[in-house]
Amino acid sequence: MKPETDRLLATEDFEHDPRYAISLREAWICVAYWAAFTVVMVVIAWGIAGNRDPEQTTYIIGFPEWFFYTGIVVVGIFCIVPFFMIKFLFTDVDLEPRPGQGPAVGDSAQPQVGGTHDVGGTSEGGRS
Amino acid sequence: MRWDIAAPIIILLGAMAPIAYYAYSKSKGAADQTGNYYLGGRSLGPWVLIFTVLASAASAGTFIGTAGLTYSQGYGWVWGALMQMPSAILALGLLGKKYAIVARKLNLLTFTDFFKERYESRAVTFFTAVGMVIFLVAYMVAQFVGGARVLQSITGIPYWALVVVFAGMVALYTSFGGFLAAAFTDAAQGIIMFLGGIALWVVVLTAVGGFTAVEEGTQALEGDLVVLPGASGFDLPMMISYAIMFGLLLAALPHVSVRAMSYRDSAALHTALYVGPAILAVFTLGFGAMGVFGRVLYPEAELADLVLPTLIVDQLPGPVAGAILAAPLAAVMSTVDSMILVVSGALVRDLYVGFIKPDMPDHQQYRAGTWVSLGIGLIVLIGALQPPDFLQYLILFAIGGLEAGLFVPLIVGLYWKRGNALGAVLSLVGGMGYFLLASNFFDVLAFGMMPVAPAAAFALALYVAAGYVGPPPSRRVLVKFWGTQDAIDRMETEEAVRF
Repeated sequence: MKPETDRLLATEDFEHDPRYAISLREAWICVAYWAAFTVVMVVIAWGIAGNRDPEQTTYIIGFPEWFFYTGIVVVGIFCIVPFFMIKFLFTDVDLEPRPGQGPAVGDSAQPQVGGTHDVGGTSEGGRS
Repeated sequence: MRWDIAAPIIILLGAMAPIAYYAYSKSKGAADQTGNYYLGGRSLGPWVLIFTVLASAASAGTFIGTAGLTYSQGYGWVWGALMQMPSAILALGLLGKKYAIVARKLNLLTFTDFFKERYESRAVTFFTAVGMVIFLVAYMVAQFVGGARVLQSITGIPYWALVVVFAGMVALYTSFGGFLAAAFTDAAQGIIMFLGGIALWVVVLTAVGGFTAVEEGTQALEGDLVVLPGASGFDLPMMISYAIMFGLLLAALPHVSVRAMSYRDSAALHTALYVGPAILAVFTLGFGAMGVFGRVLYPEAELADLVLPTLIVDQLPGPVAGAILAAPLAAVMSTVDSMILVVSGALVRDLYVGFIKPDMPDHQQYRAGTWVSLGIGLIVLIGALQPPDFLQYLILFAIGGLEAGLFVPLIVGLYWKRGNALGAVLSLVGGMGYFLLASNFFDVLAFGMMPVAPAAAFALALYVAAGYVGPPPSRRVLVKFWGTQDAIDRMETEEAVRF
């Protein structure tokens, strides 16, 4: 690893956009949702049905038990989870280049982050 | 010929013309014509957004393929198809608000624009654009071939007529209407798919005689249709592969991920995120699980892919059957229209403007985009009339290869400062190469999984290694992708002074 690389990447000589830290956090939440869904689906399906004797299959409203619990119940739960996930964990962020000013970007404007001020390490705008 | 079935299909799909015209008249006269043509001016609200994402992602495979595989190999396939349920959350959530903000700041319009700015490497731009063009064109041809064959066998309308009408209509409305036409028709098609999925359950359950009858019928089936891995072959590595391939990596498919820079605001994104999984679950369960019901009703069908269409036609009066059968066709159309625009953008913006004529003015790009889209649509139409023999090999490679190559440089590059051009080239070439070798020549490389999963892991390893070994991204890139708009402006002023 080259030290000069580290120095360049650690550079804080420009003002970071604090909205990106929020976005990264939300991306991790989405990955966690996917991972949780996958683990629950695989564990239940394989736990009930993996390498079993077909004779022992039990049925719930017409579906094999393992499919009922994963394909209907787990899928149903994970259809509802995102509502709460987004309500409680996601931040409403202005997507325009300069937040709070609408699409038309003026040059003399002050930087301002709507509602999410100072999240995620804004550093001083260096060399100007 | 069954005109009673064909008529509602033609009417429903003909309704796309006025929708496309509405979109066209809406985007006409906008200031930034190219931006409007390829991204609809970043104006999508939540419902159009979610349906265009899901309808673009869900192809004929979801509607015909899954039911066919379920019919012949059992419940494992419905389970596997359900693994695509989180795909809306991944496609929109992984790229997330940062992608939308960066796209606005740097005026990114096409899938490759991101790669161009982030890696500042002509090799990366070139590989991404060319790879997309080849594989997506092949994939579009296959979509029409699949859709038209099914419809031909059901309605008796000649194959060539179906291809000319459907492919021709998609080519016309997409090329002249641009992104908004594609998005609005996607929404209409998505609603057809959604209602079709629900109607099918109600109708088929009634026809079979309710859940108890299904249960009795299912119990009478061969045992390996209802267990894991059973006939479907869904063992643990296969299950995890499907979660990765249809869930996680789908976020990197170009025609899906451009939609992540098309929405209006955070509120549109949030709504799309939480309604997405439920809608995709209806698509998948609605049509996929019918494979089992089909097995109960028709234990001895010759062609598994035709069981679901046959079931629909047998159990329902002609016009209703036609309306439900419009769903798989809508899936084909909504996938293809998105792909045409992505490929057109790659040809015009990324290859022609990028490499040959950098100073092409906005209205010329817009006009070129229209004609190139029309040209692509026609090439696909001709390809579908005479499917070339090598087509199936390209298809096999198309989605997996693109996912394996593009995911890491797109998603990791967006958030990880160290990600550099060397890593992007290595993971593009390495990911696709590994996928090709593992799927065609060396089975051991796949470790018992679908080859795309280890290929993506290999691409990630290359990308991370190159991030530590190779030269870091320039300060320019860091400011553009991590700085505020003011920092970017300041940097550009400094550069202007220096030179």
